[in-house]
Amino acid sequence: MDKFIAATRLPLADGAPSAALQLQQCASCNTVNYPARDLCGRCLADALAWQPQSGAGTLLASSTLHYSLEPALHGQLPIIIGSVKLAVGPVVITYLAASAAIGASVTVQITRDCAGNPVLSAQPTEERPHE
Amino acid sequence: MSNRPPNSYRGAVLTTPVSYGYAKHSDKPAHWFIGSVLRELCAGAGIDKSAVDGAAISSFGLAPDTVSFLTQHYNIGLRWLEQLPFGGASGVIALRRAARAVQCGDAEIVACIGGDTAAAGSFRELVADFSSFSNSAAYPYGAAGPNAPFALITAAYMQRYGVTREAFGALATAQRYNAQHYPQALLGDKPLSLEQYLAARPIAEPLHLFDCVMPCAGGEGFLVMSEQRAIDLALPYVTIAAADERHNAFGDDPVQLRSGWSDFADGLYQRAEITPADIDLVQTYDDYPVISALQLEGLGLFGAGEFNHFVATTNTTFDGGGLPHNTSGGQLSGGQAGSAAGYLGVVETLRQLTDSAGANQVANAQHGLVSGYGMINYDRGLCSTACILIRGGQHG
Repeated sequence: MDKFIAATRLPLADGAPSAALQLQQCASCNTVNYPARDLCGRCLADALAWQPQSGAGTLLASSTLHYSLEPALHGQLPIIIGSVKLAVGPVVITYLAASAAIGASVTVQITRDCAGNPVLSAQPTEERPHE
Repeated sequence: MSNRPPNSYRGAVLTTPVSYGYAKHSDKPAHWFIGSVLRELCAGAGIDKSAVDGAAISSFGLAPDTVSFLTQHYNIGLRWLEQLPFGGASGVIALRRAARAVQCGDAEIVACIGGDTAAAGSFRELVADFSSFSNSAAYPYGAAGPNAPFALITAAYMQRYGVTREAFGALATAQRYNAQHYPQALLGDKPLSLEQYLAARPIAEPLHLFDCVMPCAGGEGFLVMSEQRAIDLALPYVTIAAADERHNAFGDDPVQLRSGWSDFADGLYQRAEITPADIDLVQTYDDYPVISALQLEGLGLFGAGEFNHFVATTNTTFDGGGLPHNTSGGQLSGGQAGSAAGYLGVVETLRQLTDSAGANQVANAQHGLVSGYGMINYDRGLCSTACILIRGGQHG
């Protein structure tokens, strides 16, 4: 089978199956940036570094994919993806572990796809009393 | 950023609509399509190619070449040349750049051409390496290409405004009817009913088969010159009443439910000295029906969130007496010939307003609105454009 290489640039330690979310953050203005950039998208400072971030967000939309351009992913279909507005700022396109309604609270973390690439994955946030 | 409408385009006109070589697959390179359009433009205008002294060209398929190299391919000498990498916004942007060149005397006759091919596997290659943002943050999530971000936009639009699949189907089926009257439309031989539209297989829900364009090969082009030159050459022409563009408009909106049209529409109509009610026909960039809806809404052809009502009360076929939309079938029924698709709306409007459309001719149209949209970098298209074209001799 063709190997699917996805250059997501997401940090995930060798051998680790998953990790808490990290995104680029500007040391000058604190803006969290995504997709990955070379300079801060807000203040243009050369001060971006990958930093731990809250994965909390709101589901903007989801889609169930029945077609993929990559043969290596055909065995995974149907694939559910979503767009999530993170509380820390950016909108991320992400795998969605389970269908959820628009507006649902979700949590985004870094996991691996079927080919081992580090990717974002969101799942509905468990309802529990406010702490 | 100022919202003042751009200065008048008075004195510069469009002539000689050319659509060429539409095919589902081709082993010819983009260079062949672009050069063929140039040949047809010269033949159509009755000029030698040496009279063309400017060119604005768009293609996804020229690499490793650029438009500079094309001058040697076609053995032409130019004094003004633009390569416009704006996808579905390229046609209106070409028109804007070329009209300014003619107004300012930088060139006298500018050929505006979009052309691309469709070899086996070329669409996957284009999509898999489309942009750095897409490569790192969109394509990895299922490798669905543009279907993915547009499925997400469509889902959000349907939820926000209660829009139904039937409403999108109304646009798609009207376009298929139009395509049945336009010989170059690649899907024009296949009727499409609303029932067929709704029963189609899902691709990227809520998108189904007939929401997605078929990539194809083809070329589109037109000439920009002075009004006097068009009269001297006895060429039917249209004038540019207004045109505008935006890039990354409303970039902080979490989902793209509007774009630059909302920002410049008032100035567009103000410059053209007409209102949306005066528009006789409209061409939108229909890579997906939801994007046509965003354009029609942003350009004031229906109120915010009233898409269901618009399609329920407006016949959008070329001969339905309502508001003719994508009168040659658009991309959804004609095929998406890469960058040529960004010129399709301008070329079709030029045909319509010079009475050279053929079986899909709209009767008595004076004002045409053309809208463009392009370049899906990550979660949205970044370029938005529109122009109002007027039948020659009716304006200024």
